[in-house]
This record gives sequence, C-alpha cells and structure tokens, in this order.
Amino acid sequence: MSRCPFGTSRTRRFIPWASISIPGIGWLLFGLYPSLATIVYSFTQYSGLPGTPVNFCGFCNYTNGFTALWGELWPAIKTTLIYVAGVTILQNAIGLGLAMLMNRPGRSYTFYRALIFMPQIFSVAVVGTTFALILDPITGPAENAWHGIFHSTSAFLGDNTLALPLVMAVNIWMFSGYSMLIYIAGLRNIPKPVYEAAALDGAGKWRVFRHVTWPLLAPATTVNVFLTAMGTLGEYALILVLTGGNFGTKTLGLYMYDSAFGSNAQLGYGSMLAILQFGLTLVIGGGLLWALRRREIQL
Amino acid sequence: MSIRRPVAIGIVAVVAATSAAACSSSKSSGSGSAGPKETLTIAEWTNPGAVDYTKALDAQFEKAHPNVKINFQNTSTANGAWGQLSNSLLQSKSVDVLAQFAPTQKAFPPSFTNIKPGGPAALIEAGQLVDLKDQPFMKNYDMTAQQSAIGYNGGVYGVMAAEYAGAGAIWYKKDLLAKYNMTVPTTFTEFLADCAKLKAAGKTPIFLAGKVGMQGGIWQGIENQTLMAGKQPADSTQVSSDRANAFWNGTQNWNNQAYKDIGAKYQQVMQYIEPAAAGVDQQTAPGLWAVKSDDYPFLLDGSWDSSTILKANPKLNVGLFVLPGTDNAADNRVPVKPDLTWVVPTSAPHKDLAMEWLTMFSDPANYQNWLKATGSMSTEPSVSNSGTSWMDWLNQHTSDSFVQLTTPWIPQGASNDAAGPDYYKLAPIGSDSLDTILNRSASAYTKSIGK
Amino acid sequence: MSGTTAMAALADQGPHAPAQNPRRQLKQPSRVARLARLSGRQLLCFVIAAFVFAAPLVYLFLQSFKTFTGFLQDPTGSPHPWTKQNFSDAWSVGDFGREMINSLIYAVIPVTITLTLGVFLAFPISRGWFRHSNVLYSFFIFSGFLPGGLIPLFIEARALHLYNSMPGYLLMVSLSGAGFFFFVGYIKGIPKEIDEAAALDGCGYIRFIFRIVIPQMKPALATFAIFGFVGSWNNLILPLVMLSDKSLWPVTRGLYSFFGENTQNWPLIAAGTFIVAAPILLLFILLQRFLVEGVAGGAAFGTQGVTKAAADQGDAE
Repeated sequence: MSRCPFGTSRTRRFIPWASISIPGIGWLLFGLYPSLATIVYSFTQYSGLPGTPVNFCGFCNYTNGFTALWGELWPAIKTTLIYVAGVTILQNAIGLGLAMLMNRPGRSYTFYRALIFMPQIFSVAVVGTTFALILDPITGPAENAWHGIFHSTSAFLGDNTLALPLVMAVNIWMFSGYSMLIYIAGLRNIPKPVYEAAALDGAGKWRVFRHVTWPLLAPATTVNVFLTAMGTLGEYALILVLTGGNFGTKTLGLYMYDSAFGSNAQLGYGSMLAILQFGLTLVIGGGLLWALRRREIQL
Repeated sequence: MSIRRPVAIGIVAVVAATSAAACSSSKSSGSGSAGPKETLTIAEWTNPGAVDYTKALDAQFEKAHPNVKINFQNTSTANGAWGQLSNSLLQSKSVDVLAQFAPTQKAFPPSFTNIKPGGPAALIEAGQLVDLKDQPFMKNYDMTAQQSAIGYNGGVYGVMAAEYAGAGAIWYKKDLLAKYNMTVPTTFTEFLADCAKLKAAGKTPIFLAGKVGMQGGIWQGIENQTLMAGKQPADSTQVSSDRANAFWNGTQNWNNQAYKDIGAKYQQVMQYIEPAAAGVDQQTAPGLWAVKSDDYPFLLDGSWDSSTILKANPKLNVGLFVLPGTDNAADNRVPVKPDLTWVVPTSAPHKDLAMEWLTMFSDPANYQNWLKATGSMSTEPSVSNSGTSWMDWLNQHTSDSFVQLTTPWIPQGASNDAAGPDYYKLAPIGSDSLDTILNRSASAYTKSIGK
Repeated sequence: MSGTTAMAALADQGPHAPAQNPRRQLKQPSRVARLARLSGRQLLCFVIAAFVFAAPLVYLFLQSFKTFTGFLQDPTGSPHPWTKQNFSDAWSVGDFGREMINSLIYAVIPVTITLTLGVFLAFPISRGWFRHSNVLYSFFIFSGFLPGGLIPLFIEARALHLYNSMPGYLLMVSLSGAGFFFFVGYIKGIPKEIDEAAALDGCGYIRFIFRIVIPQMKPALATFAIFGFVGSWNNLILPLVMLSDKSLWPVTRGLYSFFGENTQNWPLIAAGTFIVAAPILLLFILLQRFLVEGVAGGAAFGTQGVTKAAADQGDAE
C-alpha cells in the first residue's frame, strides 16, 4: 500500500476516499443493488407484475430447473456452450487473419479497417433487420445464391440445422472487427528487431508467424479470447431478433429472457436462470483466464 | 495529428446542439404548462390499424375536452418491449387506459388446482383493475362475451374490444380460385382436393410465416372444430373447462387418439405449404403474398392483417375463410379469439376521464370505424360488421361462431410442452414425428400436475 | 483471486507508443513485384471490407430508396423508380428531430460524467492508496458479471423520484456504468513520479487529475467515449421503461414504435433506421482513427467494460 502524496497532512487520508465516493455510491445504488435484488428474486415465485404477491419458496426454482424443466434447461446450456465455443474460435481466427492482412499504413487500409469495424456501431435491431432481409427464403439475395449453387431451396433461419450456424455467423460478422483491432494492437507492440533477427535467420513467412508472431501475440490472444467468450455467453438480443430462439438457437441468455419477460412471465424462475448464467460465466471465465495465462508463460 | 480539428469541431457542435436543445425544450415545456391541462395516458401494443385509429380517436377526444391532453403510448410486442412498457406504466401508477390481452376463463383455474393466475388475471385477483360492469358504456357490448373474456367473480374488469378469427383463418385470392372453378371449400376433404388440384396446376397452395409459428393455426383450427363438433357455440366455455378437468384428472392427455387424428390432418395440410415457409417472417409474409397475385392462393394469417394486405396490393380481390377442419360442413364453424381488452387500473390518476374516453370509444359509430381499421369481429351486438368487402364469408359465419377453446390448466413452472404440441419441432417444419411430439407433451403435462 | 490479477496485468499495457509496422523491411523484392503484390493485397482487402462487411448494410440502405410496392415486386434488384420519399416520410412520421436532440443529451452527458468519475475512481485504486486495493479491484470487476436487474432498478428509480425525468435518467445512467474500473490498468502505465512531482509543486488533487492525468489518457478516453456514445445511442429498454413522456424519448424509442407501426414496409423501415444511425455513423467517421490508437494504447480491455455496462443497462433484465 502506497500513500497519497496530495493534500495537507490532515486531508491526505481522506483524499482517496473522497475520490472514489461519488462513483462508488452511484455504483452501489444503481449497479450492485439491482443485481443483489435479482439474487433475492431467484428464491421467489413472482410474476413481476406490480401489485401481485411475491412468494418466497426457497430453492423451488432451482430444483424445478434441474428436475421437471431439465428437458428445457439442458438444451439451453448445450446450445450456449456450442455458441460460445464456435463464436470464440472462429471470431478469433478471422480477427487474426484480418489483422495480419490489414495491419498496413496508408489511408486505404484505414478505410478498410473502418468498414470492417463498422457493423458493431449499429444496434442489434438494425443488424437483425438487415439479415432478416438478406436471409429471407423467398425474397432474399441469399436464396438466389443458394438456388444457384445447390439447385434447391432453404429456409435459412427457419432451418433446424442451419439456424444456429447462421446466427453465429452474424455474430461473428458483427464483432470480428473488434477482435481485429485488438490483434492489430498486439502486432504493433511486437518490437521490430525481433522480425529483423528472424529475417536474418532466413525464416520463411509461415515460420516467422508460427515462431515469432503467434507467441508474441499471446497477450492479445488472451484478451481477445476472454472478451469474446464473456461477451457471447450472455448473448441473447441478436438471437431474439434473428430467430426468436426457435430452430435450436435458444441459449441460456435467451431462455432467461423468455422466462422473465415472455408471454407467461416468471420473474423468479428467470432470475434463477440469471444466477445460473453468472455461475457459468465465472467458471468459464476463470477457467479461460487460468489456461490462457499459463499458456502465455509457457510461450 | 490531423484528426484533432474535426474532433474539436465535432465536440463544439455537440455541445452547441445540447445547449440549444436545453433552451428549446425548456421553452416548449413552459408553453405546455400554460393552461391547467390534465394528461390522460393511454397505452396499447402496436398493431398498425389499431394505433392509427386510437390516434384519431384521441384527437377527437382532445377536441371535445379542450383542457385534456392525451399521452398515447405504444410499442411493439416483439422482444418483450410491450411487456416492459405496460409493466412500468402500471408500476408507476401513471396509466389510465391500458390494453391487455383478454385473459379468458382459463386464467382463473378452480381453487383445487392451487394454480395462481398470471398476467392480467393476476392483476384482477390482486385488485389492481377497476370493475367496469356497471359503467353505462358496457351496455353496448355483449355481456356474455365480456364475462367470458375478462370476467371474474361476477365483475367485468375490462372492455374486450377486439376479437379475431385466428385459428385456421385463411386469406384467399378470389380471382385465382375462380380461375380454377373453385368456391370456398366447406369440408376438409374438399379443401385437400382443392390444394391437390392447385398443386397439379403448378401453384404452391399455402403460404405462411413458419418462422413465427403461424402453422399452429392449422392445428388449432382443426382442433377447435373437432372438439366442438355437435355442440352449441355458447357451450365453448364449458367444453374448455370439461377438457381442462379431464386433463387434470388424468382421463385425457395429449397422446389420446383425438390429438393423433388432429395431428394427422395437420400433416396432410402441411404438405401443401411453401417448402421454405419455415424461414418466412410474419414481417414479410402478408405483403409478399398479396403481391404475388398469380401464385399462393391461400395465406394462413389472422383477420388482423387486413390493412397490410390491402396496402401491399390494393387491386387484389381477397377474402377470408376458416379452414374446414372436419368433413361435416355444419361443424366447420369459426373459432373467435378474444384479443385486445381495455382495462382501467385502480391506480389510474384520471378514472373519470378514462371512463369518458371508453364511452367515446364504445359509441357504435366510432366502434364501426375501429372494426374497419383493425379487422376485428364485432363485440357490440348493435354493430354487425365493418362493411368491408373481404369480410363477406366471415359475415355469413359470424352468427354460429364460437369462442376459441382454451388449453388445459398448466401449473406454474411447467415445461412449455405441457401446453400442447410444439409446432416448431413437429415435422415438417421441425424434425420430430407426431408420436414423439404428443408423447413429450403428454409426459410434460403429467409431470407438471405431479401425477 | 489470481484471475483478477491476471486481468489487471492484461489491461496493464500502458500508453506505449505504437511500434512501426515491422514487416516492411523484411525483404527487398523488385519494385514491380512489390507493386503487384501490394495491389493484390489491396484488392483482397477491398473485396473483404466491401463485399463481406459493408455489403449487407449497403443492401439495407438501397432498400430505403424503393417504393413499398417496388420493393415487394423486386426485393433483390436495384430500386426502380428511385425515391427519396421514404426519408422525408420517416422523418415526419417518426418525429425523429426532437428525439435526436434528446438522444444527444442522453449520450453526451453520461459519457462525459462516466469517464470523469471513472478516472477519479480508478486512480486511487490503481495507485494502491487503499489497504486492499487489489481486493477492491477484484470485487468491482467480478461484480460486473453479476446479472443486471431491471425491475429492482425500476422500483428504486420510482422511490428516488428518478422515473420519467430527464435529470433522473441522466443521473442513473451516469452513475451506474461499471466500465470505468478498467482504467486501472491504463493508469498504472502513467509513472508514479509524476504524482509526487506535482504534489511537491503544490498542485491540488483535483487539478492534477484534470490537468495531468486526463490528458495522458486521451486515446483510452476517446475509445471509451466512442463505445459509450454508441451504447447510449442504441439503448432501448432502459428509456422504454424509465421515460414515459414522449417529449423525453430518445430516438431509439421512437424508432421502435415506428418499426411497430410500419412492420411490413421495409423501405420505410430502412430509411428510418439510417436516419437514426446517421449521427453515430458520422461520429464514427470522425473518430475512427482513435479507435486503432486507443486499442493499441491498451484501452481494448476497457472498451468492453463500457460497452458491457451500456449493454447491461440496455438489454439485460
């Protein structure tokens, strides 16, 4: 613990506390408190409608989820894991590829990078609208392409095998610009002499990448993998707009949303699912960080 | 860095805009508070025809009450937005007239089930809504229908203002049917034969938005007519509660032969739908169907989409009928689903004004325009129909229509399967067979009632 | 809590000067070959950027120049006849003008306050002025993953009289963003010696933060600002729940109603969408060069914080 050098000997002790007081109190009021209340709701039977009773029922939502509703809960967890793993791996691979390609000086590359980054500044509703139009099986351009290649029709977002990969693809399309930027940041932090030494050794392009770039990108990879995984774990808005969670795309986040705010709202059960998701986030996030940091040290 | 200047300009512009905004908004609020105005808050979910009509009525109301300003709120039901909005309006005790989906009697299971009501029924039970039974404007409505839609313990807690032909409702292109010498089919066999004939002629008979589950309408249409066969229209509430009791007692379940037969018919109809229908969104379906005037003779969609269809292709000669689900023409009646219901919360700040607004709404002349705008069937006996041309078939079949059957009582925390088949998973939209689906629903139901 | 320290270290990239592009000097091929390769790469980059990333949005944009029936008759083709009617219709029907100004207020003020307060919160923690600074930091970060609670927040807002009021809404969104904890790593990159020198010169704490620390953090703050602005601009659920008066609505709220009322008129929806997106598009074009620099400067980790906080406000229950 170091000491605050500012202020007089009397005020010195209070400056750090004063500094964090306003944002800290704000966070307690509007950040932490609503979250803690959600934990409380997860032990109740409550519809969320004003004026209706809140009945405490202990662990009823938890036991119900793991017994009677396991048939709904387990597929949601499974879909979430597939979604997170698929998006994390592909988005990172694509982001890295784009970074290698686009990390060049010049105005044109700045422009390309901007275009690639652009999708995520639009709201999920805009992106959903766009792809609903493109993937419409009767009127969309995707249908023309599909018909040209396979000479058949496809329901795209209404197809039980295609829907999940398509939603994942839209997610990757929306956010791979972000991964790209982090990788570019990583590339720029690799000191030039390292490459010069490799070039002197006569190493080919692939070997330079394999033995110089990739290991030195480890911190960027860690950040990227961690952020993508955490971001996609809670994802539901995009899925909601694209498929409404049907055709095998109901993730835990969407299941929670459905339960808490759907037609037959059960805020208690939805809150339980939110807590479950928090647990999953901690386990996956913690595991990933541990593994990624170990890898960084080994490289 | 060359970027600095534009940034600085941008920031200045933003600051200027905000300060200008601050000035203008303070000015406008100043002028707004000039008179002793009262604000009446009305909220409904977005249905284009209904919203347009409500806005027009609000203007009329403001004209009649110069010191009242109406704050009209609406938002889409998609993505849970409407639920959030109505909830927050209720919670803040600031809404006077609020739209709700009619809960129907299914929402109030008998006490032996120990099921607590949800949705609007929970609000009624918790005393959050005003009993409108004795309001003068209620005399305009058919009280039996109102009782069954939103009645509870002798009170009537809302005005059910719209009911639609939803289950099995089919829009059709009159000219296309005439071209193949067809009239509106009256039996299930005839309907299938028509579909086969149209398919042989190179047409895709049925269009529907499978992405949002519209195919469920086929099942529900057949189910309603089958279970109501030989019964009086007025008996539908009884039929619903008899079935609910039979399910509760374990004497009936989803895997009974009756549902297997309904499912088999459903699958027969489904072979005539657009092959890629599973990916079609309701956002595109009616417009697209209307424009393709030489294909897709049938569109599976409720009567509420009339305005969209007519707007997309005003020249199209359309009509609406209900899928004949049985082979006895007399049993193929129209199931009608109670829908938008106006309620007045007990927390409403301007109850008197709310009643005046509802009085104006219920005026038969106004109500007729409401029907025209929404495509709803009439709930006021003195107003027979909206007089629109596509309603010809429906008008002839209004007298023996019945209130759509409700599903059995489902305890809280039950799996969604317990409420009946999942049309997304059932073949041909999904990949599960009829037996799989029905057995899954049956066991989910059995599990949910703990037997 | 080793995970947290790992995260702290992750974010601890500090304001390094970005290194130059390293690969240009690897080999010295002939000019012609280099030019050919260069233009080949240029072409590939252009194709990817334009046809994979920009094309879907351009497709949507093109729809906005069609008439409703024109769209229905030829959904994939180019507009014929071209019409600008949708934009004027959307503008007048959607009443976006006043809402845009509200949106600007809801975006600019909270982002400014959040960023400023964020520096004040992060600085003492980053400098380790508390006995358990690390524990505090871990706690803040992990609490960021807790589920949000819209209904409790709403009930709280009612009790504190923040419901349906512009200052109330601003207060709530300005104070609830948890993203600022991620400045901690960035501040560690600013040498401690500066503090002591400033304090010896008699510089007060508040002045020190505004005059010395904040200018040092420009790339990080700019990156945060973009994400924060975008997040606030696109926020829908919170304004839907917290603001009932039409005169207080931001533009997304209006757009959503507009969507609902014109569900099937895609060209009109596309026009409305682009009207609403235009200001962020403009901001993005103005600031996009900061993005790369900000991320390269180590703000990457933090940006997610702000977007996440904004998203939590927006989407989570």
